[in-house]
Amino acid sequence: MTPAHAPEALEPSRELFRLREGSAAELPWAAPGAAVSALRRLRAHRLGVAGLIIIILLTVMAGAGPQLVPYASDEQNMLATNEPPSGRHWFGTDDFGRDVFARTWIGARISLFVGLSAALLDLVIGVVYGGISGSAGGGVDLVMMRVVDLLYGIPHLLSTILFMVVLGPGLFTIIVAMVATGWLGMARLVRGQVLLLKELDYVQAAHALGVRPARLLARHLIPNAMGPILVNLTLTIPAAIFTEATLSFLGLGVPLPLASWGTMTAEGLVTLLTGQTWRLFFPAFFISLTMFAFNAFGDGLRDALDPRLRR
Amino acid sequence: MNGDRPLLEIDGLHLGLHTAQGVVHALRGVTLHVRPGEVLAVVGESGCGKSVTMQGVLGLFQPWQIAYRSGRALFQGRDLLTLTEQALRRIRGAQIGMVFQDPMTSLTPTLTIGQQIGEALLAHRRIAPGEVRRRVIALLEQVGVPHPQVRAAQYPFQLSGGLRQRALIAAALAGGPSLLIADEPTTALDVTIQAQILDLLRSLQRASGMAVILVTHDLGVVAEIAHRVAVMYAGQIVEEGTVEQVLRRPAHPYTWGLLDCLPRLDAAEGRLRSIRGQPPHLMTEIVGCAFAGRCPHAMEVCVEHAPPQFPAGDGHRSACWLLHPSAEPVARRTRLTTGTTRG
Amino acid sequence: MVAYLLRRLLASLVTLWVIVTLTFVLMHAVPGDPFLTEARLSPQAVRNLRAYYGLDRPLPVQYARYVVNLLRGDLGRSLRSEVRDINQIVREGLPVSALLGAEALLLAIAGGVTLGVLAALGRNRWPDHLSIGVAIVGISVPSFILATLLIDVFAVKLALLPVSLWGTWRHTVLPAVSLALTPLAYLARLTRSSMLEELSQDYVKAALARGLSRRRVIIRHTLRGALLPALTVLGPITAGVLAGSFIIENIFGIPGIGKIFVLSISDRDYPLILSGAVVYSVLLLLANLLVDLGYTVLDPRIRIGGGSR
Repeated sequence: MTPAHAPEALEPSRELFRLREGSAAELPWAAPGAAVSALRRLRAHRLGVAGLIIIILLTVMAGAGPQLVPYASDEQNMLATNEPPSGRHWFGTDDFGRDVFARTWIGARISLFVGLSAALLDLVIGVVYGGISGSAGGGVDLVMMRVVDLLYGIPHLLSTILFMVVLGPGLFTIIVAMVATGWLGMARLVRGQVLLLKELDYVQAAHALGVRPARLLARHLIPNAMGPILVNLTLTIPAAIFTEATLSFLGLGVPLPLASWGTMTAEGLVTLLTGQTWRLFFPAFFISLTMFAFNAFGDGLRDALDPRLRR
Repeated sequence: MNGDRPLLEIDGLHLGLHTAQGVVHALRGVTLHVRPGEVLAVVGESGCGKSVTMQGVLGLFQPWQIAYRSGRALFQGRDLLTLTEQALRRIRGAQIGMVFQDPMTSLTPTLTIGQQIGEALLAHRRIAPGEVRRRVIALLEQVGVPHPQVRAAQYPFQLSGGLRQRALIAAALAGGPSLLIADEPTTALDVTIQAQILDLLRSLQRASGMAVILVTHDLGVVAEIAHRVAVMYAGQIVEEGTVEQVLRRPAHPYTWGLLDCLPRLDAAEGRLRSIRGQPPHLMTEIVGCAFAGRCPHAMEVCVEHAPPQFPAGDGHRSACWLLHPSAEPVARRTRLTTGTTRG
Repeated sequence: MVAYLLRRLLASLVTLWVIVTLTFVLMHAVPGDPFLTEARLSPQAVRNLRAYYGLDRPLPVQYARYVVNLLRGDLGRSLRSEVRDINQIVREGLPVSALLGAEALLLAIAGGVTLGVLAALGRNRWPDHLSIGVAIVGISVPSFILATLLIDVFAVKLALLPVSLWGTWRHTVLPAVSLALTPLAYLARLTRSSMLEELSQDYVKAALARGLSRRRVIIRHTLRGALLPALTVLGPITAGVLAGSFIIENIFGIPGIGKIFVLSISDRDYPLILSGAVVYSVLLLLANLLVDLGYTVLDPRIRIGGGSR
C-alpha cells in the first residue's frame, strides 16, 4: 500500500522552469472527495440496512401473508389438530386445527399495529409536550419537566399493567395503557433538542422578525430536531412490541378472538411439555426478529445521522 | 549544542493512517534530526503531520490504525520503528519524554497528580514508596508548582490550566529523558501562562542539557526558544535550518507565506493576511510539489515533479524548485497572501 | 457528597409517594368489586366483608388509613390469597425473588462488563464478534421467549436441569440466565463503546508515552472511566430485571413475590396490588440510591464536588 515514491533522480528539462498558468483547482488531489464518505457510511451499516429490509419484508408479509394460504386464520379443523409443519400447513396447526401460518401473519398485523400506534402516539404527545416546554422556557419549562421527572420514576411496565387492570382488556386500551407513561422519554428528548436549537442564530433571527412561537416551533425547531426524534421513534417501536408481548403473555393482552404474537406465545407455552413446539416457536421467533430489525435499523439510523463518527 | 551525532534522526518516514473516510497519507517522507542539547522547532499548519510524526516515532498509534509505515527513526543509533513494544516501552519516558497539547485531556481524570507522576517514576526504576513521594514533590517544585504537597494529592480538575501543564511536564520528565518532545505545549493556554511555560521549558532545558523538539504553529514561540527550525507542510519537511536562517533568510514560498501572515504592529495595512487556498487532503496521492496549488511562483516543473531538498546555506535546506539553477530568481514579496500587498 | 445523597433520597421518597397514590387511585377507579365475582356469597356476607376490609369507608379515609399503615410497616391484608397477612406473604416471597434477582444481576454485570471490555480490547477479533452476537440475541429476544427456549433445550431435551419450581441451586440456573441475558447484552454494548471511547482519549497516549505498559494503562487509567456509564444504567437495568422476574417466576413456577403480584392483578386483590407496587418501587429506589452511592465512589469529581483551586 505504500505509494510509489521513486527518488527524483532525473534532471527536469529547462523549459519546465517557466511560470505555470492555471489555478489550483485543476490539481486532482487538491479537492476533497465528499461523495466517498457518505457512501462509505451507508455501506458500513450492513446491520442497519438488513434491519430495514427485514422490516419491509415483515410488513409485506403481514399484509399479504394470510392470502398465501387457502385457510382463514380462525378456521377450525378438528380433523387436523396439532399437525407439525408440512406441505399443507407450512407452520403446522394448533389445538383447534387452525393454520399457524395464517395466524402468525394475522398476529403480525396486531402486534405491528399496536407497536406502531403506541410509538406514534408517544411521538405526537412527546413532541407537543417537549416542544412547548422547551420553547416556552422559564417557569413553564421548569414545572412541566418536574412533572415529567416525577412520572419518569414510575417503572413503565408497572404503570402499564396498572392501567390495563383499570381499563380492562382491549386492543385500544393496551395502546392507551402503554402510551400513558411511554411518552415521557420522547418529551425529554424533544425538549432537549429544542433547547439546543433555540440558541441557533437563524432561530433567534426568526424570533426577532416576529414569527409567532407556535409557528417557530412547527416550522423551524421541530423539523431540525427530526434526526434524533426519528431515531428515538425507531427504537421505541421494539420496546412497545416487547411490552405488548409481555402483557399478552401475562394474560393482560389483546382479548379473544384477536390474537397477537404475544398471546400466541402464551398459548404455545404449554407445548414445551406436549412437544408441539412449532406453535411456540413461530410467534416467538417473529417477535425476536422484529425487535432485532427495528433495533438494528434504529442503531444504523443513529450512526448515520451522528456527525461525529467515532469508531 | 555539539556537532556530533544526532540524538534522534528521522529519515524518509512514510506513514498512512486508517480513518473513517479511508486511508490518509499523513507522512510523505519526513526527514529531520535533532542533536543532543539542542532545541528544534517543528512548525506548520494544523493537519500537516507534526503530531503524527512524533506519535508515530514513539509507536503511540494502535496497530489497527496504521495502514503502512516505512522509513527509519534512529534514536542513539537504534531504529525505533523496528523495536518491539517492550523495547519501546523502556525508551518511552526514560529516554524520550513527551508533553501533549491539552493538559486537561492529557491527564487521567480519575487519578491524582501524585499518582500519575509517581507511576511515571516507578515505570522505569524500583523506588521505595516513601522515596517516590519525595521525588514527586521535588519534581513538582522543579516545574514551579506552588504547595506541591497539596497539589500532589489533587485531581486534574482541581488545578488550573497552567498548573496542569506544569504537572504534565513533571510527569514527562520523571524518567529523566535525554530528549523531550513538546507537542504544542502552550496552544491550549492563556497568553500569559504561555510565556511562563516557555520560560520553564527553556530553563529546564538549559539546566539538564536535554534536547527538545518543540512542535508548534506559532512562529513567535520559535523565535523565543529554538535553535533550529523545521517547516512542515502536507506531511513533508519543506525547509530546515537555524532560526536565524529560516526566519531571516527563508528559502521556501510556504515559509514566506507563514512569515507574512504574522500580524505586525508597525505595518501600515489594516487587514490580516492568510495564504490563499487550502492544504491538500492527503487522501489521494500527490504528484509534484504539495504547495504548487497555492504558490504564485509555481512553475510547470512543480506540478510534474516533487522537488528534492536543495541547499540554501550552511546547514540550511529547502525543498523548492526555485533553488534549482534553471529557475529564475524571484523577489520575495509578491502576491502570495491575500489582503493588500506592498508589491 | 452527603448533600447530594440526601437530595436523591428525598426525591426517591417523593416518587414513592406518587406511585402509591397513583396506584391507589387507579385501583379504586376500577369498575367492579373483588367480592362480586364470588357468586356463592350472599349480599349480606359481601357487606360484612367490605366492612371488615374497610372498603365501605369513603375513599380519602381509606387512603389515609393505607398511608398510615404503610408508615408503620403494615402492608395490610390480602383479600383473596390463602395467607392473609401481606407482610407474611412478602416475608416468604421476597427472599426467593431477591435471590433470583441478585443472581441475574450479578450474572448480567459480571458477564456484560467483561464481555464489553474484552470486545473493546480485541477489536474486530473474536471477543468483538461474540459481543455483537450476544448483544443481538439479548436485545431482540424477550426474556420469556429465551426462557422457553432454554427450557426446551436444557430441561426437556437434554434433561440437564429441572423444568421448574425451586429448591436446589440447579433450579436457579435457567431462570437466572433467562433474566440476565437482556441486561447483559445492554451492559456489554455500553461497556464496549465507553471502553473504546476511553481508549481513544489523549490521556491514554500520554500515559503510554511515559513508558507505562499497555496493561497498566488499561486497568488503572481507563477502566474506571469506562465503567461509569455502565453504572448509570444500572438503575433502569435493575428495573428491567425486577419486571422481568414477574414473568420468569410465572413460567418457572417460582414462589416469589412476582408470581403472587401477577395473580393479584387478575384477582382484583387491591391491598396486594398496592403492596406489590410499593415493594417494587422501594426495591427500585434502593437500587437507584445504591447507584448514586457507587457514583460517588467511582467518580472523584462528584465526591469532591467542584474542589478547590
